[in-house]
Amino acid sequence: MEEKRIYDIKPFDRFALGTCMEYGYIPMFTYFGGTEFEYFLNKWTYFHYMDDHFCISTADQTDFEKLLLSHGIEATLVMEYEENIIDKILKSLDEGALIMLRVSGAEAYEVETGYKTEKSLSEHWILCYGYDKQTREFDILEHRTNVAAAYKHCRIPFDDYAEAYRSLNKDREESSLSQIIMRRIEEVDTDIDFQSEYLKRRAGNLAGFDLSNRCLMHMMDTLKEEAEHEEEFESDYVLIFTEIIKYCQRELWLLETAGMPYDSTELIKQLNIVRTFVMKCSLYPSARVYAQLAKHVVLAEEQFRLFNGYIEGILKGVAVLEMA
Amino acid sequence: MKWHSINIDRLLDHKILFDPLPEDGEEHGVSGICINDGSLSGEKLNRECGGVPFEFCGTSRENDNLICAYQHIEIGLNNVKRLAFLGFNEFGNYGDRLTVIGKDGSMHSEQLFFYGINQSVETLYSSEMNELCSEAVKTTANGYLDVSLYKCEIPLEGFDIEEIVLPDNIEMHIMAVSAYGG
Repeated sequence: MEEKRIYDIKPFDRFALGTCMEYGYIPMFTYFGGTEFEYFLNKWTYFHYMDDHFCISTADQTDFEKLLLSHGIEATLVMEYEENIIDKILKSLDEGALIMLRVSGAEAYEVETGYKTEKSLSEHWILCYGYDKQTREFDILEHRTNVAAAYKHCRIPFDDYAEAYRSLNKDREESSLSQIIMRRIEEVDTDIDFQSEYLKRRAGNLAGFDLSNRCLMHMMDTLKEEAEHEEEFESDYVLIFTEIIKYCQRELWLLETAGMPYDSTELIKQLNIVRTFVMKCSLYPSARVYAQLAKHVVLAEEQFRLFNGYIEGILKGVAVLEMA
Repeated sequence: MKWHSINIDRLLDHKILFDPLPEDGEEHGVSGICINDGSLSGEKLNRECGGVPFEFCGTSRENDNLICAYQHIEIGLNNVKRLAFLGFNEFGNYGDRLTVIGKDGSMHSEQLFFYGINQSVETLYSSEMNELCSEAVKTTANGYLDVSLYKCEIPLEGFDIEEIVLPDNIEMHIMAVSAYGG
């Protein structure tokens, strides 16, 4: 076959995800019958302390492999370096599988605009979903720049993709994950009700919710205190706040998808402003900057309380229904 | 129907374009980011960004952008199909709401979205993306930093617009506004 192109691969573009791996994983999962909703609902974000620092982690609420299998999907994780990677990709695609490679320095171009993508010099996962033997190009999902990071349909020459794979994986001293191949092994009909699934899952994890919320509130208190005393900030607070924003965006998206939307403009805005002032306090601390931070932490905290109140109200509604 | 530049000069209250760079840089610009680009020198500049013409103030002016704080911008045009903004966020990618007020007094809300000005910020810090917003002017700050100004283009259904009210957001900066209408 000269050409194999899958046209219903859909990049996820509603909010920024944590890793490039997820940008490949989600389109693979949905292509084989899963939903974005199930993917995000299955992740639990939690916050904890580590050596007096906040740490944010995510974990699958159920084994992700089980979620895949419930949809008749199998994911194969490949650790070894493969010399003939081009043939391997072509074979996987011909067999109806999708494949993701860990690469470095790959440069592709957008199908729609022809713009070249920026080379990522660190490790990067790229999903491949098609090929054209005539032009010797693979179809991949990739983002063009770091700032405008929306993933688009792109193409990359066979040899460039292989070289980006080779340069990262060939001489690695320790074997580590270098390919993920996903395929459907069984036709399964799954039909879930997003709203009841959301309520069931969240009501079943109240302790996790409470822990996350208490940690976030404590983080706000810490920021307020440090701003008041104009103390030096930890630089990783900026990153932590980014994760808090992502946590809220994901929850907001789940609520919207489940038919229970929440107006989040003010919440997201205040969290972003706090993040900026945390950064300013690290870079250019001054009484004015600390005062602005203190003001916006109070506003963000208020918005966060309202948001939590909304979720708690929804869950209490469920509890009342169950009692009745 | 054509693009109209909306004059916002009286509302400008902040400066990001410099020639030369200020010596105490960190007190200027946004978080110490000061754009110094010879092609942006002068009083008034005209740039076409992705099909949208913008008119904005260059390095010679005291101020060249505004920080969003509920400012009212008079539009006074009929059958407006698109509103376009040239601007940037100080840090981070996200949107806020602006209010469009019709000549008949009706009001409705639209999203205004910008990416952060500093292109060198890692994807790790990205938290949102949006198809309304795209890179408009690629330039340099502080002599070495890659920064960008962005275009946010909002499609409308042909409104007769009296004015728009910007959001209240100290992180969102606007340099120019254009409207496509009658």
